[in-house]
This record gives sequence, structure tokens and C-alpha cells, in this order.
Amino acid sequence: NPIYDSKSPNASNLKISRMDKTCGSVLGGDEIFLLCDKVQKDDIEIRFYEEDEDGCWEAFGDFSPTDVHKQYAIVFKTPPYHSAEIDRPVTVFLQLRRKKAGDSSDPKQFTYVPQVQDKEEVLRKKQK
Amino acid sequence: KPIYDKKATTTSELKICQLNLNKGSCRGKTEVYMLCDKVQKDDIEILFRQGSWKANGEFAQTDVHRQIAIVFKTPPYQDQDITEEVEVSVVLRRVSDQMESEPVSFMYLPHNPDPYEVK
Repeated sequence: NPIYDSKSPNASNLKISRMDKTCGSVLGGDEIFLLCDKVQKDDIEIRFYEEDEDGCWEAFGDFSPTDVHKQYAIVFKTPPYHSAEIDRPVTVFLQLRRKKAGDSSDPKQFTYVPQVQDKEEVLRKKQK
Repeated sequence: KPIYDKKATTTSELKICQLNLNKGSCRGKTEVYMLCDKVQKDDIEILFRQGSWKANGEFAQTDVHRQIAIVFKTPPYQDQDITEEVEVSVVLRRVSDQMESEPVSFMYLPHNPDPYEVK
């Protein structure tokens, strides 16, 4: 069994404590404030993913090291979902992941909501 | 002249780095995430102020995250019947020595119970 230095930021467990939003546009680009346990600004990524019978999708939150605040908060923008053509909200997961070690936090849910379409278009699709 | 330990959270300078929102309803209760320099969770308050009016942002000690972020709810503005946006300032204040951060701006928006103007 390896012995970890639990005080060292690159050995401690990753954890997402709180996020100011848990849903956003299917097109991405929504700014999110995420509060977390200690991270290293140059060795952390925010991975959005979906796993189902059709396969896997992943994409990454957009931020630079300067968007990591004092090792305990990250301000980032959501990535676009793989398809902009969704009729109803889609829930995916996101997690913190260390780039080097590859270890990750427990996931949190995030919901992509469809673009606002004109109502006739929505009705037409419903009637199909 | 006293010598201060700039690293000690009991005397260090207070600073608001970023808010996730800079506007909200005049009714208050808007949840805001504030990123700041180190604070002591049991010795800090968030003050909304305009002229002689002031009110406190609402949070518990458990809403202070690792000394560097505070999740709080805005207080209601003094006037619930504003018809235009009103700008107020927000500061962090240490309770023990009443030291304040530089202010940042927050806009209170009119509360509109009839958004479609049916009446």
C-alpha cells in the first residue's frame, strides 16, 4: 500500500464542494463558480462526461491557471454539449481531475438545456 | 507605528476579488458567490451600503469556504418600490477591528410583479 502525504495538494482527495449553477445552455459558454478542496492551478481540469450504451462523450471546462482562486475555487466556462439539437434537458456529469496523476473527484450533475426555439418549431416536433 | 503581520487573518488587508453576480432584485435573497482574500469565518461581515442606509449580507460560518470564498444572500433594499436600477456598494468588514475592504458595486433591480404589464 502506498503512503500518501495527505497535506500535499497533489496527493489529497479532490472534492467539489459547491457550484453556483448546475444547468446551462446546450451551446456551452456559461460561467460557473466552483468551490473545491485544494487544487494546483496548473494540474487540474474539469471534465464533463456522459456514459451510455451509445458510447462515451467528454469535454473540458474552459479556464486558465489565473481563474483558479487561492487553490480552493475555480471560475470556468462550460463546454458545449456534443449535440446542439436536443429537444429536452440532458443531464451529464462533471468531475475535477488531476492531469498528471489522472485521479478524479466524485462527480456532480450538470444539466444542458435546449436552445430557446420558436414555439411553432417545438409544437411541430412534438406532433411527430 | 504598529507593525502588522500581513499574513495573519486577524489584521491582514481585506479584499473582494470577484462576485458571480453584480445585480439582483430589490427584494433581496439573491444568492451570490464572493471570492476574496483570506478571512476568518467568525470575524467577518458583508455590508451593503448607500448613503445612510446599510444592511448585511446573510450567511452562516459554514458558507465561508476555506477562508477565500463566501456564499451569501443579498439583503432587501430599503425601498421595495424602486422603478429604476439603484447602485449600492458592497464591502467586507472585519467585526473585531471594523477594517473594511475597498467597495465593489451591486445593482438592485426593480421588483416587477406584472412583467407583461397586463394592468
